[in-house]
Order: sequence, then C-alpha cells, then structure tokens
Amino acid sequence: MSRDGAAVQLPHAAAGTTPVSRSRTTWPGTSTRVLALAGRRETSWLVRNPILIAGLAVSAWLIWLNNRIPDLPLAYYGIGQPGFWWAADVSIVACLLAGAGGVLIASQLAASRVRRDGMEQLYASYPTSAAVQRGAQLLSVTGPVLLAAALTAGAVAWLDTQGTLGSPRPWVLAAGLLLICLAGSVGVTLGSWRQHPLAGILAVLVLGLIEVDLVLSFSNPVHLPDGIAWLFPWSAPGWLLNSLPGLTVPYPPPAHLAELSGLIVLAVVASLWPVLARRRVAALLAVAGFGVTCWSGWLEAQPVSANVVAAMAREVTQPAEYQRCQVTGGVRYCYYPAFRPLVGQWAAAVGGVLARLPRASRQALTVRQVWDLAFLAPPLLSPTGLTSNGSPPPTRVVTGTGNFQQSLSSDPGLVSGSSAPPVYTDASWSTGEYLGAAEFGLAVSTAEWATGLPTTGHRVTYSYTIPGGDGAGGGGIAVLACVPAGQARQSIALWLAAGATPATRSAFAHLRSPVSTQVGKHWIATIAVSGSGPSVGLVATVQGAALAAEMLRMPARTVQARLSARWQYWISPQATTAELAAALGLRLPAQPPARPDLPYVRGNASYGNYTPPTRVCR
Amino acid sequence: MAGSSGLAVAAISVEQLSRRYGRTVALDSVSVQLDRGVVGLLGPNGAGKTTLLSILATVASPDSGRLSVLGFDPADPAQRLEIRRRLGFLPQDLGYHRHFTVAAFLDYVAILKEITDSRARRAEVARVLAAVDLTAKARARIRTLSGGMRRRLGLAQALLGQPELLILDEPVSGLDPEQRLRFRELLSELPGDPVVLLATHQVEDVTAVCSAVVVLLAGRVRFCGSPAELAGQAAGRVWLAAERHGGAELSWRAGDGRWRHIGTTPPAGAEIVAPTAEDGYLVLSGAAGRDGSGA
Repeated sequence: MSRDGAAVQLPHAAAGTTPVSRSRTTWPGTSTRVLALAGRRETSWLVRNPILIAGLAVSAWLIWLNNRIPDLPLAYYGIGQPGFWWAADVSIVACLLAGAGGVLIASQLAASRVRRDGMEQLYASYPTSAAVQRGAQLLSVTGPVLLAAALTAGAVAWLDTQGTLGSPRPWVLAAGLLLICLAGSVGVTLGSWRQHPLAGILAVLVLGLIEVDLVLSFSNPVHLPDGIAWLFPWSAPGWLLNSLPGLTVPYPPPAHLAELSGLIVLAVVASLWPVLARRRVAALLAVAGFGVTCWSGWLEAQPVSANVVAAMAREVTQPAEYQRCQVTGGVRYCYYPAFRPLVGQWAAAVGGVLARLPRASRQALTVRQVWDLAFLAPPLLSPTGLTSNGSPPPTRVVTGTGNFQQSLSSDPGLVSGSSAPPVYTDASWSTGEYLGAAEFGLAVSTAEWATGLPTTGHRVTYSYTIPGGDGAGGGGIAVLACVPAGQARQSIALWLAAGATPATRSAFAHLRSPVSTQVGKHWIATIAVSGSGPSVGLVATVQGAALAAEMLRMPARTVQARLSARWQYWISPQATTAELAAALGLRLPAQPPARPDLPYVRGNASYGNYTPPTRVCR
Repeated sequence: MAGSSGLAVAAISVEQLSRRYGRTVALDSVSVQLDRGVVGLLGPNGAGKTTLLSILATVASPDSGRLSVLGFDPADPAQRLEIRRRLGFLPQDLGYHRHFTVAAFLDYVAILKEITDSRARRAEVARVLAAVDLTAKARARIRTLSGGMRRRLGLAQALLGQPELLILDEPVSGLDPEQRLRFRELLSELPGDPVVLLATHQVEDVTAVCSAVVVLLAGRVRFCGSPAELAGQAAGRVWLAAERHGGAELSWRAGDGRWRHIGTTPPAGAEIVAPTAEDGYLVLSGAAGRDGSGA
C-alpha cells in the first residue's frame, strides 16, 4: 500500500505479447503507405461531399449555359455564332470557378473535421503523425482535380461536336485544374486554422465578390484597381474573350501557371507548417513558392509587349501573310487557319450563286476572311489593366489598325489579292437557325461581285441641323452604300443571292420592312440587305426587291436562259428593272412612294436619326 | 526497443509528475509504478485522472517529472511513436464523425494505426466490431447510433491493433448494465497480457475486473494497491446499527432497514462488518477531505 505519492510495485507483472500486424520499416516506408491509404480514404470522402458535387455541377451547367445564352458575361461570341477554342478554353476555366468554390468549402470541412468533432486528442494518440494526417487531406485534393479533369474533357468533347473552331490549348485548360488544386489546398489550409463550418463558405463569398468585381466591373465603390488584378489568378475577364487567337488570356500563360503553382506550394506549406517536425525544407519551399508567385505576378503585371500588339495588328492588316488559301468549287477561299471548317459552309452559299451565273460570264473569285472591328477592339484599341496594365498600345498601331478597319468597308483595293469588288467574310459566321442569315449575307456579297455592284461604300463627311431644333444637330463621317435605283442588276443580284440555298431563300423571304433612303435630293423606299463581313450590303429599291421575288417564282433555268443571252447588258447600270421585267414576261411591281425620314423635335426632345444622302450606283 | 529513461522495469513508471493548468494543480508530484494487468484509476471529478491518462497516452505533456511507458520515454519523439504504436486510447469526451459509417471510421483508424494490409485491416475491424457487439451496425452511420453504441465504438477503435497499453477514460459511462457486464467480459478476454488503465467512478467495476487500484485525490496518489487492500482501508470502520449514529462520517439505510455507518470510532457493541472496496475508497476520500485536500 502506498499513500501520498509513494511509489508502489503492483502485482501481476508479466511479459506482454503484441500480435499486431502493423507495417514496419520496409520500402515504401510506413508513413508513405499510410499517407497513400489515408489519402485514398480522404479522397473518396471528399469527392462525395454534396457541396463539392454541387459546385462542379454548377460548373458544368455554366459551360452548357455559356454556349446557349451568349449574352452572359462569360460568353465569347454572338448569338448563333460558332465558338472559338482560343476563347472557349478560357471560358471553361472560368466556369470551373464555381467548382473551385465547392472544392474549397468541402476541403475546409474535411480538414477541420477532427477538431470540429472534438477528436483531436484521439487522433493525436495514433502513431500516424499529424503531418501525415494533414498530408492525406492535401492528397485528397487529387480527387476533385480528377473530377475537374473529367469535366473539362467532357466539355472539350461536347464543344468540339458543336463546331467550335480552332483547338483547345492544354496549358490554358491546365490552369483550370491547377485552380481546383489551389482551391483544395487553400481549403485544407483554412480548415487547419478554422474549424467553423462557415469558414469555407465565407472565404468563397469574399473571393466570389472579388471575382464578380473583377469580371463584371460593376461601378461599385469597392472596384479593385486593374493593376493588381494579377493577384487574383482565377479571374478570367469576359470582355477579353472575343479577341484574336493568341491573346485571349490576360497574362503570359507560363507565368499564370507558375503563379498558380507558387500559390499551391504556399498553401500546402501553410497547412503543414504547424504539424511539421522539421521545417527547413518547408521553409525553403515557402520561399520558393513566394518567389515564384512574386516573379510570375510581376510578369503578369507587365503590359502586353509592343511586339505582340504589332504582330496582332499585322495579322489584321496583312491577312495574306497569315492566311491559307484553298480552291473549292472553282473559288479561292483565303482564311485564318482555325476557320478551315467553315470553308464548306461558305462554299455552299458562294457556289449557289455561281451556279446561277451564265457559264461564259464566270470569272475567278477570291473570298477572303477579314477581322471586323468587334473582334479587334478590346485587346488592341482599348487599353485595360489586365492586358496592358493601364498602358495604352502604341499610337501608331492603334491608328493604323483603326484606319484599316474603317477602310475595309470603303476601300475596295485595301486588301491586295482580293477580287474586285472584294468579297469578304469574317469571323462572325453563324450556326443553327442563324445560318441562313449568314449564308444570305455572303451570297449577297457574291452576287454583288457577280453583277458588278460595289460591295464597299463611299465615305462622306456630313453635318446637319434639325429644323425647329434651335440649332440642334450633329455631324460625322459615314460610309454609305449606293442605291442601284431602277437598275436591273439589283433584282438579278437579289435573285442570285436568294436562290443560292434553301436557307438564303428563307432569309430573303424574311427581309425587313422598307425604309426611306435619300438618294441625291429624292427619297426612295428601299430595303437594306446585309452583306458579309465589313461589306456595306445591298440597298435595293422596294420595286427591285419585289421583282427579284417574282423572278424566284419562275423556274431558275428559265430566268438563267433569258439572262444569258445579254448578261453583260443586264448587269450594266443601263439595264432597267422595267426592261428586265419585260424580258422575263413579268409585270413590273410598283415602287411605293417614300416619305422623308429626318430627325425632328417634339417638345424638348429630338427623335430619329440622320443619314446623309447617298448616290445611285454607277 | 528499450526506453532510455533508466526507470524501473515496471510497464508504466511515473516519478514526481506534475501538471498545472494556470493556477489549478492537476497533478502534484505523482509517483507510481504499474505492471501489466487491469488497473483501475479512481477519484472524484477534478482529481487529475484525465490529465494523468492524457499524459500517459502521449497527447499531453507534464510540466515536470519523469515518465516511462512500456519502457519508452514519451518526451523523445521516436520513443513516443513506439508508445503510440502500442497504445489504444479512449478519451473521456470523445466526439464522432457523425456522417461516417461505423466500418469506415474503424477502417480509417486502423490505417492511422499503421495496419496497412487491407486483409489484416478488414479482419481487425471485424474482430473489434464483434468484441463490442456492433457487427450488425457496421454499415450504419454513426449519427444513427445511441450514446451507448457510440461509447462502444470508441472502445472498438481503442482495441484496434491489439494494443499493449489500453487507456480507457470512463469507458462504461452511458453503457447499460448488460453492456457493462459485456465490457468486463471483454477486458477479461483481451489477448496477450496488456496494461489496461481504467479510469472510472464505478468502484464495483474496479473490484470486478481490476488487479490493482490507484486512488487519485486532488492531484495526488492517495492509494495504490489491490482492491482487497483498498477495502482494507476501511477495516474496523464499518458497522451496522438499528439507529443512525451521529458520530459516523457517512451513514445510509441498507436494504434490510438497518443503518450502515462508516467512521473512525464505532460505538461500543457495534456490529463491525467486512468492508468493501467502495468503503475503502470512501474512507480515503473522506480522509482527504478532512486533510483539506479533498476534491
């Protein structure tokens, strides 16, 4: 017996046996095998977390939605247009943000589970060190990364079937997976500091608000300066996505990947730091991660180099240097390489027009792709913090590119190697229900080329005052299409274009209502028909369009036969619609009168737009 | 691997162990040596039982003193690891991963106990589930278990790996009488000859299964011996009488209507009866109270 601390030897001493089939020091080491096994268990639990699954499901939904409703902030093309891989891959990564949020919350919950459930003492009593237990949680992030990889692969496959142009860039998609990895690592780190179940949700809310602020750029008082946007490498601003191939991400890709990797290293070290017995290697890793993050951040903060901007500008202004050409159906199509899949669709519309031409009148035609201003403006003409860190592109480039864009619709000889008049197409091709309108536009331009009508307009400088408006008015520069008033070739061009394909026939049938157009001093009821790319299209009289509709009701071979005999005459400015109607045995449709359409003042407000007078096509 | 402490060959050797929490003295120069077998740790709330068990389980550190567990020094990281490899621990207040299944939780714990062979792990999980009578609940989520079942699950995780040292802090709290008897049976059937440290308020459990008893009062070891020796602490100080005796320290009416007294001086002619371990514990704790050091 012993009292008050006196040591006592108890009975029943005996040698113990320990029949435990535990791992011991063989290769791979016990810790490694425990890490792998525990990591696998943690992975299986993490990927079944409903929040994580919901986040990735939202990502998938956003990817789908992004290709269904192009008005969303992340959309990178117009309604009915095919997607571009050089923008779609960035969009996929941006959509993974939702999944990353779910991963962060789920991994925070997993990492804080032991503390939250009051089991710290118990887990501390196990032979597996806290570092290995934390390492297993970090390892579990591979689960959501694999899920995100599967989601990305699925999105790539699906978008590919949707006719997305170009090729997905692996290094851009890799950034999405690193983003998921970073979210998981940050979640584990956060969970090792804060066990409250709302900690991850709050973190995601804060990061989400920053993301919304960066991407949507609401005019709110907490808008972050663009210059520090590189600190938020998950950001993928939507307004950059419809630019040219090559500069659709606001950062040098290697630097972006390096920054994400550096941040992952920092997060991993931060989560392991409290439980590491030896911290020298971790400290070195942290220093390296910090250095890489700073270095890559500095790189990303640099303005886009003048060389890159100049190369992009040259890609626009000297298309022949960057394009490939191929002959299909006797027509030479010159296009930027990524757009090769569209040649067949272009050829359907162009070939349909050419098939109606008299064989003897057929000449060599080149259809050339050019960029329109909408695809060029954001990265080149509007300096932004993300692309240029606030520094505007070189003035010479801006001016040169802007002039080129303006001249595309007014200078028929701007792009050497094009037909006369030029037949352009651009990147705004359409699909689905909008394909007919796109085909009709290209068919109209082709028909204008075939009938000698200009595809470009004339530039006028104008000014005006509103009658009774106390001097109110305005002025500017406009590029106007001429009006082939009374000329037979307007009806022939419309007949050629509308009859090219079933879709163009439908598009012609749905032309908009007439408008009043001032030609010289006269007002004429006209119908404006869009051409393709930067062309000004065809402004036909109502009578000419109505005659084309009558022609479409006749057998095409009949019309073709009657036009063939005097084709050169019919496409000359001298041939009239009346003569054409008579030659085809048709009654000449009436030309309705047109009322002047000028801005006016009512009360204190002015209404209407002013369009300067145009001229008759020669 | 032999410990480097140089202490005695006892399975557990504690020398002058002290631990404070602020101004509160949880352990005050505790010295005790324990050998293999089931050792009961008795003491009122706040006596320092949980602190002592946490230190022995290597999840807490003493402020001073020397310690050897199974021949290893917990202060040395490598030796601490060897202790943990031989340890099964059931803390007093154990939470649970409520959304885990019983089997998944035990499987994970088995991994953390370095049972990396999947077949051996499955067999071990099945063994401990059977031992605590939870086999039928293997696939049930922990949140669906009753409080007693959760306590048995806690016991099951402690049993994983057939530990050489089993530290159980209040293992029977929340168990129904039948499960308490099953627990006694389980302790009796433990393979090998492990050291089992059992902290409890239930003196009858100690008497039933323990080969030795340590009574901890106010952070000090007040008794260390066999249950019979603990009972002997009250020898000649327990008596029966028809009426309540005012001089007794503790009195209660027994089932036969007579009064059972515990005191220092039985009255003349009192019917002195054989004391129980509980009587001994009450005498000890009463003495500690008179010393002014009772909990």
